[in-house]
Amino acid sequence: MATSNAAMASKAKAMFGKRLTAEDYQQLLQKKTIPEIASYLKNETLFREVLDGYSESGMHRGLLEALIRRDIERRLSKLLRYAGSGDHRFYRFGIRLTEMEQIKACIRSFNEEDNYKLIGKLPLYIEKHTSFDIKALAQVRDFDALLQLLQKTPYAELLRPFAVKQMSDFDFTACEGVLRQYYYDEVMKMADREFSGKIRKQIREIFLTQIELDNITRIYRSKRYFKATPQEIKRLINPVYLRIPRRELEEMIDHCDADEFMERLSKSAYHSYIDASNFTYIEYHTQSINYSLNRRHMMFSTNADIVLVAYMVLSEVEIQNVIDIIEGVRYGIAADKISRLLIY
Amino acid sequence: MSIVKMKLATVHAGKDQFEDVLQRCRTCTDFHPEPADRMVTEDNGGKLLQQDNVYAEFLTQLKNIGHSVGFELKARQWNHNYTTEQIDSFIHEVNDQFALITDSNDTSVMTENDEIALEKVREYGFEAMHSCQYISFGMGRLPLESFKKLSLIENKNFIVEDLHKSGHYHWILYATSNTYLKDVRKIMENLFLEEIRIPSVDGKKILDQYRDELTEVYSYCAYISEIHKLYRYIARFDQDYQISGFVPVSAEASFRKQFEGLDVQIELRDPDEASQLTPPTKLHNNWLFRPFEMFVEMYGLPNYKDIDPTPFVAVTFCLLFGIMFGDLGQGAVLLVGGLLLEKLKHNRLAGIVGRAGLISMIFGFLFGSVFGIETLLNPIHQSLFGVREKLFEVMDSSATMPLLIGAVAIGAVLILMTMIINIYLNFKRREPAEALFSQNGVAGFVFYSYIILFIVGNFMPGVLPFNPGSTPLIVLFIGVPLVLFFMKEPLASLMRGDGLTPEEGWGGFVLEEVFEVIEILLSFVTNSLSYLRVGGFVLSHAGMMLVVMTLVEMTGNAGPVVFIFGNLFVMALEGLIVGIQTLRLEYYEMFSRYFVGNGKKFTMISSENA
Repeated sequence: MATSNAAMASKAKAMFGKRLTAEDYQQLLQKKTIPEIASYLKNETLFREVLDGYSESGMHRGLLEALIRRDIERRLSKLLRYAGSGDHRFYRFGIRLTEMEQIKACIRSFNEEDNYKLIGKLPLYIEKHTSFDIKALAQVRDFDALLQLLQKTPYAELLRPFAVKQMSDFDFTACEGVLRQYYYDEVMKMADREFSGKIRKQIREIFLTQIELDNITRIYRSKRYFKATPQEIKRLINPVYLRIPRRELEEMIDHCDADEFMERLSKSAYHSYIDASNFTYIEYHTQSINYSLNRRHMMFSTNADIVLVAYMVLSEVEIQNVIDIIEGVRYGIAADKISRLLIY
Repeated sequence: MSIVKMKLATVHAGKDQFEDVLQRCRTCTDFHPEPADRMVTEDNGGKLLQQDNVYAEFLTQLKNIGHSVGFELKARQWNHNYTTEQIDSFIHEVNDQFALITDSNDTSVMTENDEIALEKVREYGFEAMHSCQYISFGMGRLPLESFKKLSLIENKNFIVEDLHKSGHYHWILYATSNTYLKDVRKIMENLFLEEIRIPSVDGKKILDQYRDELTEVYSYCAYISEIHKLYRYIARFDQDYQISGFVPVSAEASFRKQFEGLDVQIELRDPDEASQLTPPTKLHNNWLFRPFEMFVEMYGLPNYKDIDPTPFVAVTFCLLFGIMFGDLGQGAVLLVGGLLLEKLKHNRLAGIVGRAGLISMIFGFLFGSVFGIETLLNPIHQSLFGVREKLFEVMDSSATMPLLIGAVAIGAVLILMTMIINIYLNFKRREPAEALFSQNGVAGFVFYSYIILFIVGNFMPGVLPFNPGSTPLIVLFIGVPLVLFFMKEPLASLMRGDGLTPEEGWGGFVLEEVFEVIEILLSFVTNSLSYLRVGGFVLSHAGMMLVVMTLVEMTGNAGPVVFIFGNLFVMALEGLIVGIQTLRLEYYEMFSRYFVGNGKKFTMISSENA
């Protein structure tokens, strides 16, 4: 399916060139209200297209966040127009992720008195691409009904073992782990099916890096906040060992506490991205690594598929930056504190 | 075809009359007022009129009131006079009333669509909705996707009315019992409803009640405030309130007539009597040249004492444009289209295009080109001029050199003409050194014209009655002007009576002037060659039309369509390029030699306000 389309790669690079700059972030951090942020994004940045037609004055914070998140889909569709004919199914990997997020949100809502939050956040704009009727999640109020809705999808079999009599006993962490593993397996399968040779290797590497960084996050958090045992941690992570060899990682899990883990990480293959003495929070570091690696792909790769995947990853980071700013302004967090969360 | 002659007019009025004078000056179409600070000096005992403009403050308050209730105030003819106390008390009254509206609804952030939706809710009566004891209402804009999600909510304890819709939102009104209000609000919050407060009082009713008086008071304040702004033109000499300015000589009588019925004295003097004032420049040209005033104004108006270059611009622009865009058919389209647009839209650029089109027609006729058809006029040329095919075959290789040489020759003539104008103007401005010794003065004229004669003599022996290569003539007409260029500054200084020695000393002077003279010589060459473009565009136009005609032949049945669009394309593209190039020649090659453009525009109070 390789697109090998120079136009699309050029367009992606051009769009990346219009990303939010340090100056844009500085401007956004100066804003005091959601409408001010909306106005800046609408008038000065690439987000103008997704915000076009919406009124900045009195804009709802939730709507702004939803629209900003939706921009990833708009960017992808825009780029795929340059890719010529074909279904470009691989690039819809984000849809699988969204499906799982919605399933998880639905399960969480079982413990809540209503599901209004779930309904409010349902991404109906992707309903044509989803593997089940995403709208029907609004009517699902228990686990059986969820399995019923998902019965024609692989999710049903993945979730069935987690069925419990009382939702308070539901093992959410394990369920999340199974879904995540399934997502990465699917992405890898699709990559193997759609690409070949060096491109396949590079695309696999992009996603394997994400898995490895995800593992690092989980290990650190389990050690720092949950004091989990090495066995528990090993059950949580995906068996992917890309830049840190298995033996080394297992040794880190077995013998290090959270600080030692970071110390070892700063001497690992990721040493050039992590400075243990200047620790912010784990997700910041792993995302920064992910951003830097993909930025390199973006800048130097000439292959359209690699550029597109890298651009999607970078766009997600950019969107998360904007969401962080919106959240920060909403909760009145100081600009310098929000600024430390931003990756660019 | 000149700069309008002015008189300095001073209107003397008493304390009770000066505001009436200002009011009449405001509408006067032939009066350029001068700020009073130019008339008042420490010696003449005059004073400026300084009074706080309270009406400007009233205006701001009234505008704020209007803005707070979404009512745009527009000044109109007013019927009543108000004292400041009356205005102040009225503002307090409406402020109190409208505070009710603004307290109940923040209309300042409402969009046009919000207003439409609110208008529908108004039908239910705001007060009635707020007086319900057991039912609560809410309204706002809901994103389209959220509106779809309303149907996903089970066991709805509310009803929704769709008020209005745009490409991105639905405006809804919802009603629920007080019991479920908290729950419904939670739903709406999760669906990102952007709430619009339903006003507790109907501001429109209150607004309707005050609309007329508000506009009346606003109009009165706007008028008086405008008059106050004109106080800067009033100079006070004890009880004598004066406004001075310039009036065209031809409008003296009508100016006097403006003040009929007022107890004022009008004094009209020669502008030279007030040396501290620079008379404004008002161009006056006939129908044919008038549109070209635009080009002069774009560059800068001539000084009042200079000449109006508009006729010269008009003639040279049309000539150069016509040569470069020579086509009888296309010229006719420009002529008709341009004049029509000028008539209908009063567009000066269209007028210029129309006039230039006429000259395009003339040159198009001489080149034998009609909409790119190069043979259509051959029979006429043959019978009129007795030629074998046509008068001038632009695309013929033998025509290229004469065409380019002709273009440079036109340029040389134009350069010489601009020098003559410059010499005249500098004598008129009493700057003889500039008129005599500068590159655009007599020295430059002699030097440049002799160079041309020299070239003519060399290429066409026997044409001139003398030998331009003889040493005495070269010394006289080349050497002497070069020395004059070189010595221009010291000679000017000598003529002013300041001595011959340059300010910076002889060393610095020689070094500077050597480069200056080299630059002068270079500029003569480059300016002359700049006119090559005139010939170049003749070739370019013919070339482009040749392409169009080739395409017409190639496209068979679609030929007429290609012919029309090809012509339109060439007219649009080349018309624009040729227009720009001609303007460039006007500004850089001609204006730079004689035109200063430091004039002051004739500005009436009415146009200031506009």
